Amino acid sequence: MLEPIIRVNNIKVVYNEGKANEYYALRGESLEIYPKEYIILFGPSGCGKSTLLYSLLGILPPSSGEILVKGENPYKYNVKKMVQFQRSTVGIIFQSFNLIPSLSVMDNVALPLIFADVPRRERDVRSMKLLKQFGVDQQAYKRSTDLSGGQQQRVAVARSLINDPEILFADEPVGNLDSVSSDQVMGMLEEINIKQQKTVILVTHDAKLLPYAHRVYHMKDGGVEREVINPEKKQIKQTDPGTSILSEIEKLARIYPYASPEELRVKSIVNFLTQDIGFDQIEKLERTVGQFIDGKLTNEGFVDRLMRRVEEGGPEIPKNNAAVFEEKLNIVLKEAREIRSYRDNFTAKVASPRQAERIAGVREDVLRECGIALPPEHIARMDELLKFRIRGFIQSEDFRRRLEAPYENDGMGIPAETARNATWYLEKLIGQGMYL
Amino acid sequence: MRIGDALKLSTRMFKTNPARTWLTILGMGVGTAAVVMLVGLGFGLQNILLEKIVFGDTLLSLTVTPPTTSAVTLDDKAVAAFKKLPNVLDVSPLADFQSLITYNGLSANTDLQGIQASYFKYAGIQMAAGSAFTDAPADSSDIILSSAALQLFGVSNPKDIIGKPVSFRVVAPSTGAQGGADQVPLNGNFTVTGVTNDTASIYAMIPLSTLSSQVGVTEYEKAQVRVDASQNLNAVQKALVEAGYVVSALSKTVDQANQIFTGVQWVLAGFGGIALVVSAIGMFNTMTVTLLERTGEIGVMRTIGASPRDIQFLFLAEAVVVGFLGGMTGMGMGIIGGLAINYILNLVATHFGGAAVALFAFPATFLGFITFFSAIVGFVTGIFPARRASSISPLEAIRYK
Repeated sequence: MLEPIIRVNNIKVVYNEGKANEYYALRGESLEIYPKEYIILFGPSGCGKSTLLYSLLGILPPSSGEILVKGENPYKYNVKKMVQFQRSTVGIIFQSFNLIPSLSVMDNVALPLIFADVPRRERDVRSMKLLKQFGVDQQAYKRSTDLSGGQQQRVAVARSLINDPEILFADEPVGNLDSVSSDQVMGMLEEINIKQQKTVILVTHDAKLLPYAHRVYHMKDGGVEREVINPEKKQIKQTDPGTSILSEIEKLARIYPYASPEELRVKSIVNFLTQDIGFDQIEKLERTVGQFIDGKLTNEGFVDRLMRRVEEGGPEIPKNNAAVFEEKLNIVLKEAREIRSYRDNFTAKVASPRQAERIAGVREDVLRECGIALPPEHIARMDELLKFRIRGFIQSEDFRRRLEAPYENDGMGIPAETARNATWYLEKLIGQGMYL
Repeated sequence: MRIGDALKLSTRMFKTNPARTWLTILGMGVGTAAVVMLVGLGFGLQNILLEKIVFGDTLLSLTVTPPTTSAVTLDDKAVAAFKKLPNVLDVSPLADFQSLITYNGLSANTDLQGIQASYFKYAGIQMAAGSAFTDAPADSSDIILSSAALQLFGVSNPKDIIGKPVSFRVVAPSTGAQGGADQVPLNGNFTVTGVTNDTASIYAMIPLSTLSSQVGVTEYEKAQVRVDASQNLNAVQKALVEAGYVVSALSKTVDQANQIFTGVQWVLAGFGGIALVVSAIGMFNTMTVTLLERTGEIGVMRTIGASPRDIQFLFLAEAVVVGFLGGMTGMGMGIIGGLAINYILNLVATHFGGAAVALFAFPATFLGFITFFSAIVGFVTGIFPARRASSISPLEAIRYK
């Protein structure tokens, strides 16, 4: 049986204990982290995730309970052993990088070795190797403040690894980075976890990062709300067969990381009631549609991809439906473009005969989609209504009421349900057009 | 942590905050400069006094005079007895007669002192012009005058009288039965060959052999007893006092003078010390601010493997560096300041006809002490901030903004 590298037994962290502003940052936490695992402590600010991280780092003694790292309680260490623990067992990177601005990049990386009395030559060789590994060796002799955020964080990662620790802590490591740097740093951490086989414990409130972890502890109000296993990663933590089962709720938790288990259950039921396909398929369908909208797939490729089986990464849409999807999507995109052009011309005050044609096109599409047949004398008013809505003169609610209202009262006299469908469809077209 | 690394880490403030660092050093420098200058003045004054009298032979000589009211006399027998005392190397007596000196047609009263050449050394007599005579027969008619004696003849520049002839009439006890005193002219062509720098007493000096060949020398005014080593001064003095003589030792005077000057120096150092304390408080303040500024950095260092001792060491090293550089700067400023003041005073003094003196002195041992001491002051100033830096909780330090 694999022994956990970190075992947390019912720890409580209380700030200002016994005072009026007493505050429980952690209220009796227990968890186990196994060697080579990638763990994310996830939750909103104030949930106690950073408190837990700093407790594990050995700088925040719990008020009660016990932390065991490699079977030992670091808070029972004397000063010397504690320094040794922080030097060689754990490494940390911070949200704000925390490099020492007055030192060169090289010296920043080598700083832990300076405190460990390692001779200069050896230090330089080791830090240069790491800088090279993380692609910042060109910056070795610059001051850390002259680097970009992404570079600084890469230097910080190098610093955290210089003593070759077994456990790497990361406190919101990409919270201050742009998406490109963020991806780079997350990639580095993944590599450190997989290739260098280090245990990585990352604290974040950003749900985008959750797929990197083996397991995610969702935290809230000073406690672990639930543990979510990432079904896409081969698990290191061994569980006896039958003790836990990976259900749809776990998969849903990954898609909706901020939702509580109750909300996830509701989502699951509503999905069952209203949709023909499951969340798995929806996710894949979304990906496929995204690629098509981006122009990465041809019409044929799109249909083909829609029909692909789930195991092959497709949404497994039946052939007939796939063709319908393709047709509808193309129409929606075309009308969305028309609406966009109409609005662009309208706001730029360009008068063009094409404007009336665009409205007519949208009208025909809406009527066809909703199965509405209008007497020819009503068409002018319908166009007028569409123009008002697309220009933004009336709200979608007004539009629907006008569709429902009798023709004598300035309305279109369309039955309520049909009017709602037509409004719903038109709103989709406008929404697509606005963000084209 | 290695010393080189500690030095590198604790001199970063020159890069991160050069203006503040140099101002702190300057502050320490001004304090140290005050100490250096004032104590330097003390040393200078001491030197001015002592360099006139402090010679090896002089310090190792005892001045022996006969008591005024006793039967004990200082004669050739006594001198011979002194020479036989243990640890006595030499005895050089001085015979003193009232005399009338005539130079350039002018006559005046003066003491005529017959001495051996060794007396110059033992009594620490210094020449303002010319040179002392020796015991050689060729020098038998050489005369040395005191600077004060030149005043009698209106000679202001001692060099003017060198080589000039003088004559004497000695007032000697009468050889007749009725007593009294006779004025006896001294035979010989006496020439002035040297002038001592004594401006207080009027005397002329003549080789003892010349004097005794013409006048009966029965008693000596005083004698210089040269002792072989300073630790025997007391024993010889005791023996002489037991024999009934009055003994004074220049070394005692020098000791007393030195004691007084040590006191003066401490007082001066105290005044300078006040300035230094003010500077040290300023530096303490800066270190405390630095501590606050570096709190985050301390937290980071602690989480990546710096021990509390490392942190303490870094702060102390920084304080010592600032203190030491402050000491160096202060030393430079103090010495330059002292020398500048001295130069200006000397310009003024020589302009009004005074002699140029070295008012300030900076002995190497004193400067060495200041170097060491300034580092110590830095160290002491750094203790409290360093302690606080090392005891700060890493978590609070990281979160400190």
